[in-house]
Amino acid sequence: MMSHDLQWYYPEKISEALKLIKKEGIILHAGGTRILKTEARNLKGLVDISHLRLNHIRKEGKNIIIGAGCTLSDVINYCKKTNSFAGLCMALAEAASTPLRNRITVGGSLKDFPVWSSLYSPLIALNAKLELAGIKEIYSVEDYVKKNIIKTKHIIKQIIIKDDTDVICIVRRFNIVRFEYPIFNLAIVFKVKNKIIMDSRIVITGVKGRFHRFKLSEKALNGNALTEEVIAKSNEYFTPKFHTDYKYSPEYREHVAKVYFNDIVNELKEVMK
Amino acid sequence: MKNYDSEKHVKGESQFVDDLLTPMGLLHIIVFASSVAHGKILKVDYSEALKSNGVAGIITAKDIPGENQIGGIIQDESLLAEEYVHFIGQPIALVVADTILHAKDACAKIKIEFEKLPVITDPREAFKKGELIMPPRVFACGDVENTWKQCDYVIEGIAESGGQEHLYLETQGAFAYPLETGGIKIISSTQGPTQVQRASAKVLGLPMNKVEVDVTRIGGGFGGKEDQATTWGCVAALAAWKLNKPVKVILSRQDDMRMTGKRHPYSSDFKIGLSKEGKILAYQVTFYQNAGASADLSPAVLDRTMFHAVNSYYVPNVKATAISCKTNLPPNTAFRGFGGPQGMFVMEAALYKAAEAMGMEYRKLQELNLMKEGDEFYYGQTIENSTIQKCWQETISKYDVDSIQKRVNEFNKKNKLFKKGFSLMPVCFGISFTNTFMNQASALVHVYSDGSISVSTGAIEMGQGVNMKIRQTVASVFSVNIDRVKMESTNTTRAANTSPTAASAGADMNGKAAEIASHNILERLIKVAAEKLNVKETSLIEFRDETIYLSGKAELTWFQLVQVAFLSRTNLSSQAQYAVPGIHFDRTINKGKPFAYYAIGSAVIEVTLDCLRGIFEFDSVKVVHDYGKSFSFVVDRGQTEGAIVQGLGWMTIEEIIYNKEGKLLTDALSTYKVPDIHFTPKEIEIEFLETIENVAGIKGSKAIGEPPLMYGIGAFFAILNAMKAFNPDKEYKLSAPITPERVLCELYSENVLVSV
Amino acid sequence: MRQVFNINSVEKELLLNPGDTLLQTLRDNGYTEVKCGCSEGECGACLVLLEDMPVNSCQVFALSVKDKKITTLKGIGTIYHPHKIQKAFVEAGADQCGFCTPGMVIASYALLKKNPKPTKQEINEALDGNLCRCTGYVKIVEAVEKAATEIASKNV
Repeated sequence: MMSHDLQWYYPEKISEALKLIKKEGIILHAGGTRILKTEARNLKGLVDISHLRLNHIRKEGKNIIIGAGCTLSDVINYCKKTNSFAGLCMALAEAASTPLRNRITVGGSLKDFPVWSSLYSPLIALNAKLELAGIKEIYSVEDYVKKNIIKTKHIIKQIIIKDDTDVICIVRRFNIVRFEYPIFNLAIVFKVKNKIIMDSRIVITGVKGRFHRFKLSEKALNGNALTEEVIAKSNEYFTPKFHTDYKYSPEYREHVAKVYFNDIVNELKEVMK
Repeated sequence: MKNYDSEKHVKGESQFVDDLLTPMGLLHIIVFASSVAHGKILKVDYSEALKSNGVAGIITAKDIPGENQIGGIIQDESLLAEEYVHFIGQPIALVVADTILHAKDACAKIKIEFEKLPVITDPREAFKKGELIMPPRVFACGDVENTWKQCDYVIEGIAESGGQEHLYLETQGAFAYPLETGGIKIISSTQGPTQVQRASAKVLGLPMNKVEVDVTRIGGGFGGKEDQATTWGCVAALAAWKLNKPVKVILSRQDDMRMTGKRHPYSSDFKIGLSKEGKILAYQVTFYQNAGASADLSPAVLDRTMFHAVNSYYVPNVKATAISCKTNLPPNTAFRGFGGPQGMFVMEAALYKAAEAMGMEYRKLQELNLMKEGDEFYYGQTIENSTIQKCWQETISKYDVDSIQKRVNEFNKKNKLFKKGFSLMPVCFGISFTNTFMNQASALVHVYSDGSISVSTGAIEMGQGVNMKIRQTVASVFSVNIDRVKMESTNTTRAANTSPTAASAGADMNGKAAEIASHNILERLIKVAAEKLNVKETSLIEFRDETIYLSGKAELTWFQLVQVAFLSRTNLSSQAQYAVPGIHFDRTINKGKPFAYYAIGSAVIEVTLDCLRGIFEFDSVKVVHDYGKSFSFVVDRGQTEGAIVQGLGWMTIEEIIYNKEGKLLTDALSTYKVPDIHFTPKEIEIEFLETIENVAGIKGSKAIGEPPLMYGIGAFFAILNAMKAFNPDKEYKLSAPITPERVLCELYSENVLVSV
Repeated sequence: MRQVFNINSVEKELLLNPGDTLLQTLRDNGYTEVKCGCSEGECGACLVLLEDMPVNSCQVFALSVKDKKITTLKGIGTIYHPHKIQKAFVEAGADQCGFCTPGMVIASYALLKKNPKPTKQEINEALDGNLCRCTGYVKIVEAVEKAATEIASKNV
C-alpha cells in the first residue's frame, strides 16, 4: 500500500525523467507488475514512462530496436509479424499469463533483475545491447548485469539486437503452472554454416549469481559439427548451480536443466537437417 | 436447468460480502496475529498503534463481553489469544480504523514479545509427545489379530497424503453492524450461518435471538467456510459491538492462506492380509491425523476417515485406529471429502502394494474385492441397491479398459522416455453428516397473494446449484413456472438451528424440507379449490402448468386460486423441518447405519509421464457415476468436472509446505500451485448410470458435491504405473502429492541422475 | 484526490489515493464487478480491458492509466459480440460460484474480438491467466467455443 502523498510525474522528455529519479524516494514506473511485491511505503514519487515515447519497435540498419516501454505482447506480435527471433518470441510467449504480458514492459523486466523476468537469458544469448540514458554508453546486457550498472540511477531507453537471419535462438522456460515465476530460463543461440556450429551462446537464469554463461560448453560446440562426441563434451561443461530452495531441490533443477539443454541441442539437430 | 445466479454472474451484478453497499462511517479491521507457532505472550504494547492515524480502537481478549471461545465440537479454540499462542497466524488483537491502510499502518506499530516454546509440526511427533486433540478411536469388526496367520500374503507399509488449500476465489470475510433493536447483524461469507450466529452470541454474551446472520451467496467454500468462517464472523461482530459501528473484515489472499486451516494431512500405517487368490481377509490401519492447534472439525473428519477406510471393498476383519494429533499449525478443517479421500487413499495404497508383492494386477485385486449386494461395511451398514459392481463393469466395458491397457502397454514398449500409465478408481461415499443430529434442515415457504412464491432454507449457494435445485422442486410441487419462485438469502431469522451446507447433503435435506413445506400449502390450496369448485373428491383436482383442472377441465388459474385462498383466510405460508429418517450410530460400539445412502461410481484415468522431466499430462478421466435420477445434467456434470480437477490437484501439484518453525512457505499463488487451464485432462468423459430413483435424495437424485473428488486418487496410481513402466525395479513411496520433482527423485536413485 | 477516468465509454470522476491500484480505485468507486482474488496478478479475477487488452487491474496503478480507455464487465453490454459470450456462459453452465466469471468473460471477449475462430489451444492460452476453483474449466472452454460458433454462423 502506498502513501497518501505519493506524487505522480508524466515527463515527456527523458532528461526530465532522469532529473526526477535522481531525487531520493522517486522511481520509474513502467507496467506496474512489481508494485505490490515491493511494498515501498517510503516512496515519494513515481515517474510514469508512458509519455516518453519508448514503445517503438523497428528495424534500424542491421539492428532491431525495441523501446523499453514496449510490453511483452508488443514484442511477441512484432516477432510473429516479421517472423524474426522465434526463440525470443517463444520465450516471451511462455513468460507469464496473457493479461500479465499485456502489461509487463521490456524495461521493467530488466531493471533490478526481477525474479520473475524471462528476458535476461534470451537477450544475453542474442548478445543484445542496452542504450541507457543517464549513463552515456551502450552496454551489452551481459555487462549490464556483471558490471553492476543495474544498480546505478539510469533509464533504459531501448534494446538493440542485431538482426542476423543466420542466428537460431531457442529458449526453454521451466515452470509447473503458467502463472508462476519461472524456475529457470535457458536460452541457446547458434549460427550454423555448412553444418558447423559457430558463435554459440548458452545462458541460463535462475541460478546462483543471477545468470550464467557456459563458455566452456560453447567452446566445445564452436567450430564443430553436431556429433555425439561434441554434444557429450558440451554437456559435460553444462553444470548449472542452483540455490537451495524449499520448493525445488537444486539437484532436481539441475537435472531438468540438463534435460532441457539436450532438448535444445536435439531441436538444433532437427533444424540443421 | 441453469444455476439461479448465472445471468447475474455474467453481467457482474452478483454481489459478495466485499461488494455490498456499506454505510458511511464503516470501519475496517486488520487482524494482528501471532508470528510464532508456539509461545507465551510476555508483553504487548499497543500505545503507538492506538495513537496512529484513523484508529478507532484495538480490541483484545480482555474486551470480550461473553466467552472467548469459538470451538464447535470441542471447546478448545479461543477467538483472540490471551496468554499463549499455538500457531502462526493465530489472532491476538483486532485493529480497527477508518481505512484499511490506516489499520495496516497501526498494526505494524504493535510491539510484542514472546517466550518461544517448542514447535511440533509432524503428527507422529505430536503423538509421541502425547499432544492429542482427543483420545484415539478404534473402529473394528471381526478378529484381525487371529486372521493374519490364515493369510497367504501379509503386506505392510506407510501411506501419506498432504494438505490442500481450499483457494475459494472469494477470501474469508464478514460485514457486521449493530441493530437498533439491540443486537448485531452479520453478513458473512460462510457455509454455516447458524454456526456464526451461535459463536458470535457466545462471544458477545448475547442470546442467539439477538444475532442475525445473512448470506446471499459465497464465492466458493469447499469446506473451508464450514467452520472457519466463524472466526471472521465473530471478529466482525465483536468489533461492531464494541465500537457500536458498522465494520468489515476481508482477509487478503496471503493472510487467508496463512491464517486458515486446510485439508488434514495424514500419515498412516497399514497392514493388509490376503489369500493367494487375492481376497482381502484382514486390514489394519492406523491414521495419524495432523489436526493443527485446535479441534475445529477434526473429530468428525476422523470419523469419516474411518468410515471410508475400506473404500468400496468388502473386508471381513478390520481394525482402524484413528489418532487426532495436535500440532502448532492453523487448525485444519473440512475440505470436500472430509477425511474420506485420505482414508480411501490408504486403502488403495495398501491394495497397490499388495498387488506388487503378489505379482497380481492391481485392477484385478480391486475387482475381486468390490462389495457385492448384501455385503456389510465393517461398521455395520449394508448398501441397498448397490451399484458398485455395475459402475465398475460399465466403466470397463463402456471405456474398453482392456483396449486402454493394450494401448498403454504398446506405447510403453515403443517409447523409452515417455511412459503411459492408467488406473481404475472405485468410489463409494456415504451421504449424511456422520454426527446424526446434524442431519436436519428447515425451510420457510410463502405464497404471496399475487401468486409469487418465496423460499428460505438453511442452504448456502456456493456454486453447487442448490438454489436451482430447491427452486425447481418447489415450482414442480405447485406446478407453476419456475420464474414465480424466488430463493431468499439464507438468514437465521427465517431458518433457525440449521446445519452448515456441507457433507454434500445441502440440496437433499433443504430440498426435502422445502418440498414438505410446499406440500403443506398445496394441501390447503387443494381444499380451497375443492370448496370453490363445489367438489368433495379432491383427487379429481389436478394442478398443471399454472392451471387448476377439475376432471381434466381447466377451471382456475394459479393466481385466481391464490386470491380465493387469501380472501378465505387460508394460511399461505408454511415452515417445515426435515430430519433424515432411518439413520443412527452407536458410538459406544461404533456400529450402526450412519448414512442415508451412498454415492457410487468408478473411473479410469490415463496419464502420460515425461520420465526425463517428471512432468505429466492427464490424457483422460472417464467416469461412470450413479447420480440417481439427476434432474440437472449441467449442474451435476459441472460439479463432477470441478471435483475431479480438484482431486487431481490434491494428488499431484498442490503441495503445502511448512518449515520447522511452523511458518507457511507456500503462502501465495506463485508458490502454491493450483490447477490452471492447461492442467486439466485432455478429455473428461462422464456417463450417468441408468439407475433407479434415490428415494432419500430430492426428486430421486443423489448428492454430488464431494464424491467425484476421489476419482483424483486414481491419478496417483496411474502415475505410479507409468513410473513402474520406466523403472520396474524400484519400490515407490506411497506419498502424495506426487509432484514432478518427487517423480524424478523416485525414478532415479538418490545421487545419480540419469545421464541424458 | 479526484481524477477523471474513461470507464465503459463514460468520462467519470473517481475518488482515489495516488498510490491506489486500478482495482482498488474501481472497487472503491462502485465498480464491484471487478473482483479481488489475490492482489498478486495470479488469479485473473480482477481482469479489465485496457484499450481492448485484458490486464490484471491489481497490477496497474490507476494514475498510470488515466488517459486510457478502461472497460469492465459492465461495459461489455450492448456490443454485439459479448452478448454472445455472456449468453454462451449461461447456457453452457460455465459458472458455479461466479467469482471468477467476470475475469473469464473479459478474457474470452478480448480473445474473440481479436480471433473469432480460436482453436482449443488458443482458448487455453487466452484464459491461462484466469483461475477457477469450481468448474475445472471444462464448461468455460465449451462456452467460448459455443460463442465462437454463434459468431461465425451470424457472419456467414
